[in-house]
Amino acid sequence: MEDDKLLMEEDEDTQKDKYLTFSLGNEIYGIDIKVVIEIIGIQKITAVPEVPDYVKGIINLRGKIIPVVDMHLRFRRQGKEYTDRTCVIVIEVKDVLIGLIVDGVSEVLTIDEKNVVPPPELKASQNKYIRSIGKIGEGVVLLLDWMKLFTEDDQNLFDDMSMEEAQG
Amino acid sequence: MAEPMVEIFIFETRQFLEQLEQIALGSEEQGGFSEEDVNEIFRAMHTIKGSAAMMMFDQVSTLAHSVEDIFFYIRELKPEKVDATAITDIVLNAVDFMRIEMEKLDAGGSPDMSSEELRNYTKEFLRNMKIDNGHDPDIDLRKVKNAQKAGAEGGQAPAPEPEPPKKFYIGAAKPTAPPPESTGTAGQQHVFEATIFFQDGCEMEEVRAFGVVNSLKDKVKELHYLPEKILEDESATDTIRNMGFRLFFTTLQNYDEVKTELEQTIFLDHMELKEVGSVSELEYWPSQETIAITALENSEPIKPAMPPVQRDLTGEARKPTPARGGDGAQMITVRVDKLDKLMDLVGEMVIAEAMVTQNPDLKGLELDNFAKAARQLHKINGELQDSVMALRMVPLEGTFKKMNRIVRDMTKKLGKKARLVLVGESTEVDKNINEHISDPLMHIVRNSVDHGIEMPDVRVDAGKEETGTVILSAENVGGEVVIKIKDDGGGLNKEKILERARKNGILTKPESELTDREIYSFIFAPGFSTKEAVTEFSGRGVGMDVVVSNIKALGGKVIVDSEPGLGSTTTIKIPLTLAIIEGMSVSVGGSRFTVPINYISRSFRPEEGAIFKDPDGSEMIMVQGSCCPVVRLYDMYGIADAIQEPTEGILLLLEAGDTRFGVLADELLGVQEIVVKPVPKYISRMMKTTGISGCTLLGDGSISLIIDPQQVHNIIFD
Repeated sequence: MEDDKLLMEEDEDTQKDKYLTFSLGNEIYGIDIKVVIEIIGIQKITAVPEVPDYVKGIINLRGKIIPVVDMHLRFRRQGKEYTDRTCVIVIEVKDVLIGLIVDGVSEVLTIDEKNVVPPPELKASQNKYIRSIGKIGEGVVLLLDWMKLFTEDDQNLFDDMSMEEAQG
Repeated sequence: MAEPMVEIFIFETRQFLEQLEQIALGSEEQGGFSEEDVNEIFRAMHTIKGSAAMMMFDQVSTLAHSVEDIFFYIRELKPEKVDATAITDIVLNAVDFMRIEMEKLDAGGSPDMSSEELRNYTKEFLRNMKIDNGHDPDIDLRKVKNAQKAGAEGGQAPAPEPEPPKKFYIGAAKPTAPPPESTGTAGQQHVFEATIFFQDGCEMEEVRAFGVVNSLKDKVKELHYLPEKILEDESATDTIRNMGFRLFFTTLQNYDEVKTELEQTIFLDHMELKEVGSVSELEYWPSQETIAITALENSEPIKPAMPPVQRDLTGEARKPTPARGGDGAQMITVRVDKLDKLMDLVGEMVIAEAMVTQNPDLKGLELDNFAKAARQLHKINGELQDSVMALRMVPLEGTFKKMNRIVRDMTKKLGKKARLVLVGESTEVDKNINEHISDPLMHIVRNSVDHGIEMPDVRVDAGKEETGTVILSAENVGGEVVIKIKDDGGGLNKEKILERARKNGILTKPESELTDREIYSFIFAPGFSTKEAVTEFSGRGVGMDVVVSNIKALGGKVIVDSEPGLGSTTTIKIPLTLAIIEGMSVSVGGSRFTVPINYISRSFRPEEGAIFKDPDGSEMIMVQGSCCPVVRLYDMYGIADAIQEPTEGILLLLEAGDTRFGVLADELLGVQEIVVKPVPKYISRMMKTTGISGCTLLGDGSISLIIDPQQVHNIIFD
């Protein structure tokens, strides 16, 4: 147990301040590397009924069935045609896997804490999904608040699930 | 999660409890305890006592001890007046007590309930029984017995050896331990002889002795002791009490270390420890050959690390199970999650096989040899799947037998007379089903006895046998297991049910349109009870709704039939397995759907004009003289690029409940064994009423959504 903890802490340490950056429209976004499981090319998506339009459906990742979310649509923007560059970033938070469809993946960057600033307090909910903004050279990276990806209309997926588990 | 040792203890004790309950109930039915029953109960209580004491669960162990005493008395002195019912009550009460404690233990707690009341009652009962039978109530049977034995053997034998063929219980000798002769000269090894006396009245000396052996065995090289079989041999207790527990061992520790070690023994009164030069000076030291020979004789596996497990195995073997004869079939206990994992893997393999053999790359190729090999693979996979399924299958026997207890308790309390007849209890079902069926069965059986079976005088007046009969039967029919609970009581009162249903406002359609079955099914509605008076067992209306929800969770259904005056029958149908099903895959536009094959009654291409609309726009079709509603899958699921003209598509006629309906798809893709995977929670929380029950992977790696005809049925008919 102790060892595990130590290892995890160490692990977390090496992953600290590291972000996978991806492009979405004209912006560069970053997501904490520790939640990223893998990056795959776009593949055949099976649509499912009765879900919001941003949930494109489910994909088969080596026998695992994973829901995929179009990030353009998720951010309430115009959807974009998928191309060869389009990628799915598979992330895992608390045993829930989802795939994020993005325009393209760039690189893994280390952004020091002191180069990260909170987003401005805009009254609209535009920056709801952005935790903070990182400076990198001349450009900026919008750092994703991935926890928010799992919530919709103030409904928390994890609360739901832990309740279900408790009942089961 | 409990420690492995505790886990084994719980598992083992529960098995014994079940066994005890069955024997006790059986004996009561026969009106007395057969010699075999007495021995079985004695042995089971004895073992529980032993293992509980080792786990330091004193309340459990002392209770077991007091019950054991009753049976010891019965066995030894064979009293004439034995109140079987009262004794059964005692045994059952003890079983209940222990069962609760095991639950607690299993949940991570500790068994802390005091068994004093039960214990005192049991002791008092035994005392009275002794007086009734003209025996001295304070007689110590064990002493009497020992005295008899000692007399028979001619008195002062140093170590009473009741069984002529010597069987040495090798507690600590590790299989790799070198022969003592060779190590005896190695120098550091010390040879000891020790005799331990426990305090008077500490009780359960054999268990204490076993504890000593257990704590010593890591520290010694080789260990023998007298009496040889502490736990197995019942005279061991007296021997230890009178002559002390004698240990002979070789160890690397010196005199002082050994002394300190032994002095830590609980309930130690005094002991003698002496060091000798070599093993040959010891009074008792079986040679390697004898050990080898006896080891062969006792071909039981020797597990030095955990003797109680070994006991468990032998206990298991003693239990008469119809599943195996005397061929010495071995049993192992496997954690269920390992089986689940195996099941998952087999499921993956079924998919992987389809991915290979139906690979799109192979399309249009002539591959005779490949096809042959693929068929072979398919066959083996099928067998593998069946075997893995079979691993999880357990007979319903245990669950069924539990109902005996319920019928007994209820008839006793209600003053009714009823017997339970079990039919086909060896029918095997998935472990999961077996676990979830227990509660529903209990409620239905309770209901049958409480509401169904009449009081004896009423029965006699009606010209029936005084004792009512409840038949609990199980059989395999197709891919389903069918469980029936049939009673010969008064039957359900349709009027009363209707009246109640009206009062509760659960009538869904005009009364005149309700079928009998629909009326009867109201008894499963929450909060429903036709019984005016609430009894301890039923009438509160809680419970029967559990029946339906539990069985639905297993994918099954419940039907009630009743004949006024003749009794009622409750039928439960449950699919045998849930994880792998045969499904028909269809395409709708770019999407794939799979329908479980047992719901499809037929599929055909509708003719021009066969599908017609009513003024509301609902579509329907005439099939075999009946009119069935039709849904278009592309419409229901909003799929754009599907075939819209029914004459170019295919209509699947599905049967769910008692009704049929058609669903329109583009094309049939074929039948395949599919592994049901849940829809990811991220998505399922957004879907509410879609009729999709899961998803699966097809041969080409694409995902197909599994349609649940029952849900679709509910969507259409609501």
